[in-house]
Amino acid sequence: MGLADDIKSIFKDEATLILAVIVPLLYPLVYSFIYTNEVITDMPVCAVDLSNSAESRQFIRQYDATPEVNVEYKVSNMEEAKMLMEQQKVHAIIYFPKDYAEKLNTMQQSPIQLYCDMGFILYYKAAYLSAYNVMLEQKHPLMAGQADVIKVHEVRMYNTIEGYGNFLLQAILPLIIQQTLLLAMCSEIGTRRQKGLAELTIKQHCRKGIAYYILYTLLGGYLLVVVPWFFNFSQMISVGSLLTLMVPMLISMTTFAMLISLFFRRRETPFIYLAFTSVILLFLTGASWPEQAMPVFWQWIAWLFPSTPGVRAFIQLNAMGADISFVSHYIWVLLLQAVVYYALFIWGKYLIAKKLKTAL
Amino acid sequence: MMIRQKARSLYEVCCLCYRQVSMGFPIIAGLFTIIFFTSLLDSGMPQELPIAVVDLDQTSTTATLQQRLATFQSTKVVANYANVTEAREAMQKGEVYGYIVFPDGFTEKLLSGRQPDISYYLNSAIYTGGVLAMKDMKTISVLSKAAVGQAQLRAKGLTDEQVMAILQPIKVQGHMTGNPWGNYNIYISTMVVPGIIILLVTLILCYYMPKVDRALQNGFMMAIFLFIFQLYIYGILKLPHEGQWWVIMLISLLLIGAVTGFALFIFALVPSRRMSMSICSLWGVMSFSMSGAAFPVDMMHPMLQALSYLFPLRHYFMAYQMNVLHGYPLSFSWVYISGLILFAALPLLVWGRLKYQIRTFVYTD
Repeated sequence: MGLADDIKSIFKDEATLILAVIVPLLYPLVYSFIYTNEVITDMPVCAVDLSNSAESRQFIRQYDATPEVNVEYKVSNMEEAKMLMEQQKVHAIIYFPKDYAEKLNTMQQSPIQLYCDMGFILYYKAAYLSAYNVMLEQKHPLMAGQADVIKVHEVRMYNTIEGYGNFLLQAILPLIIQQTLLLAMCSEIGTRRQKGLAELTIKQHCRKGIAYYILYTLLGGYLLVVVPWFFNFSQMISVGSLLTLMVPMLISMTTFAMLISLFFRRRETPFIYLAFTSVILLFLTGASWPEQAMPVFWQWIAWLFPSTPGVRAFIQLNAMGADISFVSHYIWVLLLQAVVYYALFIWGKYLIAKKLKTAL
Repeated sequence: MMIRQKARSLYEVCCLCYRQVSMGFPIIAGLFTIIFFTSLLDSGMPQELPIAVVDLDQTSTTATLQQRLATFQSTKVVANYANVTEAREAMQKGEVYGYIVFPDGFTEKLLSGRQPDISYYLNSAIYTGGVLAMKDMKTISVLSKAAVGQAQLRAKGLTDEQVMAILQPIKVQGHMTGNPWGNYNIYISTMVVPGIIILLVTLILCYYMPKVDRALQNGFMMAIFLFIFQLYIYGILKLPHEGQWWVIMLISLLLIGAVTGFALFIFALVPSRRMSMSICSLWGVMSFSMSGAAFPVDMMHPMLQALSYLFPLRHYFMAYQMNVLHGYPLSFSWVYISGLILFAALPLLVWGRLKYQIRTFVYTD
């Protein structure tokens, strides 16, 4: 049995074939497809215009003209608007009180109320920010014709259209590598034990690790380069940076999988025990929920998994075009993790050999 | 005597059930998931996200403007950089979510009425952080106008209120229905935790099939945590809910029924343990996206909108946000409620085949 046989055995078994080849190939495509429409456009909104004045109508026109919002209904009382919201026909209500125009013309600040369905956070963002932008454009009649005292520019960097897929996939892609590698190896080792085959020696087990490493170098190239390119996600990573990140990341993820695989004695249990951790690990990377807002305890726990430094480094290199020197600490963490996982793996192997009275 | 005998046999049945159920994993996974998400999102709304200032002008005017920025809600100025490159690098290192630049000659231009610029840069590659920073930074416009214009207009004899009315004639006041504090816990935990629990329920069911009794016992052991979760977030954490308790419990029960039906249906169609578990985990993981809690389904490709009906979590999420979050009557969400019931009834479609599978199932790799 050589290395070539170890690679072949991944393809021979239906289970590892699905987990280590088919899922990494197809999953990112499915995910990217789900988020092809990346931004909120024309979300339905209802306007309640009690003021019924030229001023309020102008605001509604301008609000309607923003790309995010479409004022689909104009009603004359709040009850009707609430009904529309309850029927999920609109996701926000913009309300102009009776004295809206009057206040504007008598030098009082005139409030507009915006009620938004908080079931969907992105709707709130779209409705509120576009209303805010329209608000900023409005000038008091006294100031009409005068330029603003200060001009304020907003520059969105990196993910310039604020695409949802472009943000989420950058975090999911490295995570897919870790999770499928982990599931496939645990399943293979579990199957061996379930069949009652002899426990692998350290050398044999490491050779399996190397087989996965080689396979995932190819898959990693596909996931981290081809998929972002195919779906037009931001792609600012250089070849040198990609290799500098991918080598330690795959070493860390492979040794992690080798360590975890020691715990499995059955073919299917890895599914139950590991599949649900993906969502938890995604949150721990800090991509969707800011790291600074996490309790300190979870910030520390996050460092136990290769996905945390891996995902963070990949986002910074690929989505933000950072220099490789900016993420050097993540690379060191990945290498340190690999050393610790390997040490624990050897210790685990030793304990198992002692229990089964087999050779290491 | 009779009672004692009955009690004894009841006790034996309980023991038998107990031995057939592996308690360890459901308890650990269920409790961990609940504690993880509720504590991770405990702050509700991120506070004090780091942003930076680059002041190339260095005058007392820009210093005053900076002080005004300290009133931001969810961000906090943590650093002052000497030039834009340093600020951009800090952003690329993930140290700040945005920065504001006061260009050289700002004050001079301001005093001579030549409309100086302020620019703010946001990192939209990190979504939540970028969006929250944006909300704050948009107020810079108003704040800076106020800071500069106030003195001039006051000198003309206007009151503070009139000054504000001139500088910012309209004020948009945002109200979030159902989630008054914009608490992320309400909208992330309430969908992700049930999603994880049903993923585990379907996997456990497929794992123990064709032994129906063991599958159901172990599956329901896991399912209990959905109810524990609801009791915890609404009973102890007191997250707001307009819907009544029985509605919460009813839709949770329907969700469990739906995924049980789904898992049995898949088992009947795909008589391999490996394949049925693969399908269930694919479904379970896709559910998080297809539920529409993160990116709304209405905004997805029409084909995906149609496909979303194939995911029990989607029906649950819609029923949850309509009936529990907003407290609308159940009749409003009848489509989703009946969707869940249909899922629960799926095994009836393949009843004969299911019985046949259970009788003849042979475990193969």
